[in-house]
Amino acid sequence: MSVALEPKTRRQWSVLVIQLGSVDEIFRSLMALKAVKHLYPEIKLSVITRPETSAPLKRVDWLDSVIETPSVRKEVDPVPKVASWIDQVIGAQSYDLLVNWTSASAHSRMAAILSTLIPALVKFGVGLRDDLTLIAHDAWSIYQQVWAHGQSGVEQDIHQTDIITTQLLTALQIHVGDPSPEAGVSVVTSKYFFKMIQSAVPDRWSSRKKSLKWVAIHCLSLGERAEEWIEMVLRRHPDVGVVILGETPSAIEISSERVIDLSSQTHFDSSVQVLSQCHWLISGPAPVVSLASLLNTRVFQVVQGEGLKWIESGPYGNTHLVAQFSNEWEPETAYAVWSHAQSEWFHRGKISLADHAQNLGLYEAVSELKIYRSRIRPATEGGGVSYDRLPLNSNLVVPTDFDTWMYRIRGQMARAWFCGWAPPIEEESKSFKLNPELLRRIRTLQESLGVLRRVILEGRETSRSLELTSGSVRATYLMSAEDRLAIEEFGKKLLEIEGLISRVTQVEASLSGFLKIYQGVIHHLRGETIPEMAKETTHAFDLVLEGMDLLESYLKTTLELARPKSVSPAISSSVSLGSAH
Amino acid sequence: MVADIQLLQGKVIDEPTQRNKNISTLIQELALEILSEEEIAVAAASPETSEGAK
Repeated sequence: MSVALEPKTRRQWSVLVIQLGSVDEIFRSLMALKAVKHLYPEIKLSVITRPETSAPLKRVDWLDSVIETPSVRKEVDPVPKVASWIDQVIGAQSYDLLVNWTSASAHSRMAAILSTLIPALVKFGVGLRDDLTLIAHDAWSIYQQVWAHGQSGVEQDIHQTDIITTQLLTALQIHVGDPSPEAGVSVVTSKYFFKMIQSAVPDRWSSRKKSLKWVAIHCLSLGERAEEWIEMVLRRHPDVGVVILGETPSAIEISSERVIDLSSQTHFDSSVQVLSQCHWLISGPAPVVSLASLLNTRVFQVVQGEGLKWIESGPYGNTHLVAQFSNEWEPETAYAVWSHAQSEWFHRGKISLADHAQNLGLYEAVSELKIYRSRIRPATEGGGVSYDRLPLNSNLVVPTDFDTWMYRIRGQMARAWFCGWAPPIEEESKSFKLNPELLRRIRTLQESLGVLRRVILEGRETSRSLELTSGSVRATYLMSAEDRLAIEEFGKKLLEIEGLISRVTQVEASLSGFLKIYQGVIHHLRGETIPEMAKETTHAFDLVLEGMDLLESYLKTTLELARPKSVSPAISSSVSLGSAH
Repeated sequence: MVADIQLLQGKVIDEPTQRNKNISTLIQELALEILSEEEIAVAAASPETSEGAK
């Protein structure tokens, strides 16, 4: 494909974002767009959204336009109305860059149609081919579909907000140029992220006791046991009030002037008002977590069940806490962790979480929890939000388990693939807390990795042969029987190789990400001829090989760090002399 | 970085002002999609099918 973009002055670039997803996706998109707007202040930003989710977009003043999709009625032919709406969207402005950020499956087809219908110079995200099948136009979109998707089964450590931010920044860097030189580092989140509407505040909230520290709780995402947590707070913290947001699974039966029940009574504006004046949000996974992150309200999130997929949509920013229970959450245990964090300013780290839990008689329960604290990593470590596992005591070390080791390396693979940069392996490896179980697992992985490498190399050789053979024939409809047979054989062999990759990844499931990224690239091939498609297939194998190289480097560095170091003879003799005395 | 620049630069349209050839099909598809999404939303909100009624 030829890249023939005419040079444009920076001011002319206009970006259209299609975001038809949930309100959670809207919040993440806003966070990404604010960061992009800071680095490229001259670009014009427009967003297409559904009327049901447009309120947050209308409450920021740095978007140039917010366009709502039309409503249609079943009784009337909807086509003329939709056609006229599309004409208005296209006629109002021309777009240079269009990005489809909708990932919610319920709205992804509609977003892909819109992405195809609206003209733009460059397109990112998912659109439609001529035969109306879906196609991802860029690397980050493929990554999002095959790895960073709720049901992908692949754990990786890049937050959804960071994926879309990096995707758009990469697009702008390629097509527009480097960010504004005046733009320094800026904090995107703020209590004043949205325009405030004072009248939106419910009376019970405006007349609350201002001397109390208020904590918002989202009961629906926590379930019926949220009430137990509220009771504990009321009993032990006379200086704290609790405000209930969102829906509730059942009526809350606590009567206290320190509890304000706003369940089912808040809309977007009032939620913003209330949440921005709270010290904490206590919640399970819910859109309100992203809203609190935008507003810089500290989040204590409860995760129920194993796995690390929650990281992709966890609370964004510094010092949020996540308490992960392997099964159903225990309010008392969660309370122990939260109450330690909430009195940090008082004890200034002098009381460890272990001591605090001991005082509450909950040491056993708390020690079974996985507790994480979020932080924004410096660019030298890969940037974006990351979650550090917290020990119960600063003297203790939380051993790195294999899943954590792998998910961090997968994130670095994506950075190496699509940003062209990953942090130094030695430095990153030193942050792992090595232990015999991790080392044993890594050694097992090493064997499977060797087998997979041989298969991938064979696949690459086959696709390269296919590329050369098919490239040498004049036309697909005019070739010798020999060439046709060879091309068919290469095609069959590629299918066999995919089967072999699949078998290796069935034995070593932690390598299944490689199969998925290969299949993702193959699924989104853009070439229209056999040589073009064969070339893209070779690239897919190259991508997998590069990822495997990085994994192997991590593997060797980690094993190297665990190897016993020989002590120099001089030191060794002085030590033995010392011990003799 | 192995990811070729084409994969990172998105889909570059040579003639962006030219409307898609399938425009009428796409508009019909879009209208049907909007209609079906609205029907799903209405069905989800109705008392017979909503979670609360169960």
